[in-house]
Amino acid sequence: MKAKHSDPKRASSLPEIPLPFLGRLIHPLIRERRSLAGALSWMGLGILFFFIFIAVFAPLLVPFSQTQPFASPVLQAPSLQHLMGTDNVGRDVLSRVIWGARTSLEIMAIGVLIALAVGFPVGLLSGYVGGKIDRLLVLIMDSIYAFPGLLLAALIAAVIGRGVFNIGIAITVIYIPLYFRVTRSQTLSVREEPYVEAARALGAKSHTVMFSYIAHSAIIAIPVIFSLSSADAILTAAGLSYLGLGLEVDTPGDWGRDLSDAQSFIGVGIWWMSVFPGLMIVILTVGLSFLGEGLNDIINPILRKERS
Amino acid sequence: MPKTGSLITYAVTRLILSLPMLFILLTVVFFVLRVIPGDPIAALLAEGTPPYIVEAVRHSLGLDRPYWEQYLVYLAQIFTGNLGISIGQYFKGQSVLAVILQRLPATAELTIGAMLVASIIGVGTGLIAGVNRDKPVDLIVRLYGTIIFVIPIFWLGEILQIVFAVNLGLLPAQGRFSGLDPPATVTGFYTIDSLLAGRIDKFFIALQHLVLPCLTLGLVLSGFFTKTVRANLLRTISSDYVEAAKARGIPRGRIITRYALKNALIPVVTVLGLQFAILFAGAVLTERTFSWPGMGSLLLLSINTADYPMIQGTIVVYAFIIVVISVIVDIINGLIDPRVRY
Amino acid sequence: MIQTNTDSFLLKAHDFTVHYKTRRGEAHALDEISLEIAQGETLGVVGETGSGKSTLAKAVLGVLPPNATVSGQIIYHGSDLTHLNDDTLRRIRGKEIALIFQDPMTRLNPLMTIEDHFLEEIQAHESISVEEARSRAREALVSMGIHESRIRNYPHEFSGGMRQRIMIALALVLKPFLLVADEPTTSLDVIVESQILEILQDLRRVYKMSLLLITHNLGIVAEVCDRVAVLYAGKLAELGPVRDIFHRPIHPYTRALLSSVISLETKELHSIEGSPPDLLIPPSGCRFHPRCPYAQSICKENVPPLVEYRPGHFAACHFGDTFL
Repeated sequence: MKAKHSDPKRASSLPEIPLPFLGRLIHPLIRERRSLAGALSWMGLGILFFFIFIAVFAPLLVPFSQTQPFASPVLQAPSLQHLMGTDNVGRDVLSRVIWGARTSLEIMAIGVLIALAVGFPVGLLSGYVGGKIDRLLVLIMDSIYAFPGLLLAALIAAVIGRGVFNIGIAITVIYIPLYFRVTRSQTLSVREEPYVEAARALGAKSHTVMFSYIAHSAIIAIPVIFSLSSADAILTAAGLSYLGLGLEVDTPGDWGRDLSDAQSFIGVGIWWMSVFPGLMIVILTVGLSFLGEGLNDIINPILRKERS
Repeated sequence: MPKTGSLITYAVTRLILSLPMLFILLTVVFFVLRVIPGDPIAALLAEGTPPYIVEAVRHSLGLDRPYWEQYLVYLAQIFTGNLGISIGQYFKGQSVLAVILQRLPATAELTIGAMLVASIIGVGTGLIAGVNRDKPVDLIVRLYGTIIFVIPIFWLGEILQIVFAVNLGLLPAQGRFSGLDPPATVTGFYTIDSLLAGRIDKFFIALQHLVLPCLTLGLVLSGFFTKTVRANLLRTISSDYVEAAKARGIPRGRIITRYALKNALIPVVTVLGLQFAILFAGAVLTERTFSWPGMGSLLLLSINTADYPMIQGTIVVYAFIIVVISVIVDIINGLIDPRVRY
Repeated sequence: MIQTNTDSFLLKAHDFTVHYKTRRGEAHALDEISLEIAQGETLGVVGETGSGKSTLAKAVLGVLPPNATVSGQIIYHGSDLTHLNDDTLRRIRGKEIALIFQDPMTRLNPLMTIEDHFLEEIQAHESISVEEARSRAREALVSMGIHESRIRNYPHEFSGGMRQRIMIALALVLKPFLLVADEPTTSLDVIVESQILEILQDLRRVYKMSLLLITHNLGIVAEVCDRVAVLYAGKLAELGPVRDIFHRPIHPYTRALLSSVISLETKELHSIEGSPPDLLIPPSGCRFHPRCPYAQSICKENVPPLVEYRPGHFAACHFGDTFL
């Protein structure tokens, strides 16, 4: 991340800046591990890493590597052979659920990372430069932020077509304003801090000041919205798939589409088609929001301390 | 004090200030539909549609003209209330605006009902949690607020359908009305129209159909209310004016409602506009789960039938609704908080 | 008018102690305070920030924050305020004992008109008609020099000085027996300050009301009070008639307080060499010993008892006799 490069020579001649980013995050996480916020954060991290593990090793984990329909009997209730049963076209639900973790995390990563890559620098610039550009950017971002995200993503998805990458792009538009807002407000409060003014007074060039000092301080707010927007991205991607605007039909795993398919079978007691993909989404998003809220409770006091 | 006068001035100012937002949203819609890489017409039409047909459709919609010309025509049409003519198979030849306006009340009825559910449950739970800070009930409510907010809306809908419609058979799982003919259209709200027609039986049918969709959407949204009400209540409960009121011997119940809660609701109202954004997004999903014939279903239908003018029209109407709601929220804020009316 | 007759007291604190539970440990905000206020008397309580003066004010009203633990007694009309049930205490607050705060800007509900504040308070304590309550509200407001046409205004439409007068009007509208004023003029400018002080002095004449005036401003104490209690780090250092305290102080802390005021010729209290003690780990023995120029080893070891050196003039110092 941008804020991590700190020139040792400059660091010795300029006033001290707060600890490196990861240190500022991990130290309090370890220190607060016994508090409620710390416990929530670690639980969230655990869930996230569990899903990342499943996603990375999906090809090795799935009991049935087939993706083509009718390889197994249709609509089998959960059994030893099919732990989560089979769906209406004879696919193993457990296998689909495991592949679904991979597609969900892929879409989430694309959507949220692009939003970070765009929203963070633009927010930094807007907050630092101020003036008319800032006001215009704020107006544009706030307007997009006020528009229902899923609708915007659905519109973009309809125009650019299906696929993991395209859906990632479609949902990134929702989160750019979020990263922009948070980064900008951080920048505004960091801009007047003593060490930034000191760096300026010592003759650091304005872009150096901006990117090494302000970015460094502003980035501490990012992990919180990173977790929360990730949870929302999972939900939105699943929503798009549920609406039939998401991935190609032959994608090996797609929680949203599975839930959409499952709906026709609810009336006849086929509960396993909807319960398991739904549970996966809930566990992952609850984990991510535990992480986000836990981090929020841990980081806010740090921010207040750094400010005072 | 000229209270009403200043409120009207305030409302008009808010209205004018919202015009840039409307303009930006319309521009974004234009940008997405026409400028970004990708050919919407080709993407919307079925694969294998002959290129000359794609071209013909593009030409008939004016999509082959320069962007600036398209943009001016687009804005001019919107502000004259002309959203074009449908080219999809279901509404071919009909006015886009007319079709949308016919669908609008269903979505409005759903979202208003959901907002009621969300605010009653959300404010109630937030209040309970805030007053009992750090007690077990507080932790339970906080957990509720966090979890309910990230439950996929369509999954919750499916589960409520399984429980209340399939297993218990208490409520209908699909649609807006069943059995009899829907009430004659006056407002388009089935609940209001059936009351206007004096048909209590129809009112209850409409209400029964509303319960599950509104509950689904409202429950998910209530998590947001729970969290913001609780957080703000903690702040106002420890405020100076609450301490002063206690010292004047004001009864505790009154302090909680008139001092702590009312002041805590102001920041909640300011983010209400954003809640409506979540609400409309959730409504699209809820409409699909419950086969609710509203604007969300219309949008999906138009995407599936390559009805380009209808897609654009629906999104434009959504943009208008969002802007109007943001103005209404500002005005409500002005009504509650005397400090804003300046 | 100096009242030292201990039998006619209105309110009496006995061995009153307040601790706050904080994340870093227990803070000893007030430690075994014993004092009393007579009918119609004005008692000043002075001390630095953190001496426990505001805690005393809130304790009298029973509006301490939830992390406070209380021991000892506050006797009022024969009953112990610390043991009354919530509803009885609520009926006393505002009606019999009223409190005005340091910072009037944030003490009124921003969403209620001034009239609503009055009506609400009157109706919380008395069952009278709205019309009568209204006229009493107007009367109270006008008596504080605010025009009655402004009664329908919201708090944000008033200046700080006006809001403090509104707070006083609110405190007086039910004609309480005791008014507790916690630094009522600190956040106001000098002109407004003198207006507020005049009002407070009038109170006694008009209402025959007792006043517990908490301040760090010795000038105000000299002007308004009958007796003074000097608090240091939650302990009562000295207590006596205002004339004795100002002209013949006993406790070294009181003397330091007075000299710092006189030497600098300001109305503000300037701090004495050294910093106020940390209430989480208060000094042993006499709490003032780390900053006391006369401290001996006994001061470190033993807590000095409160001794009556002259009639009605008490001090807690091991060497009180030498300072007489």
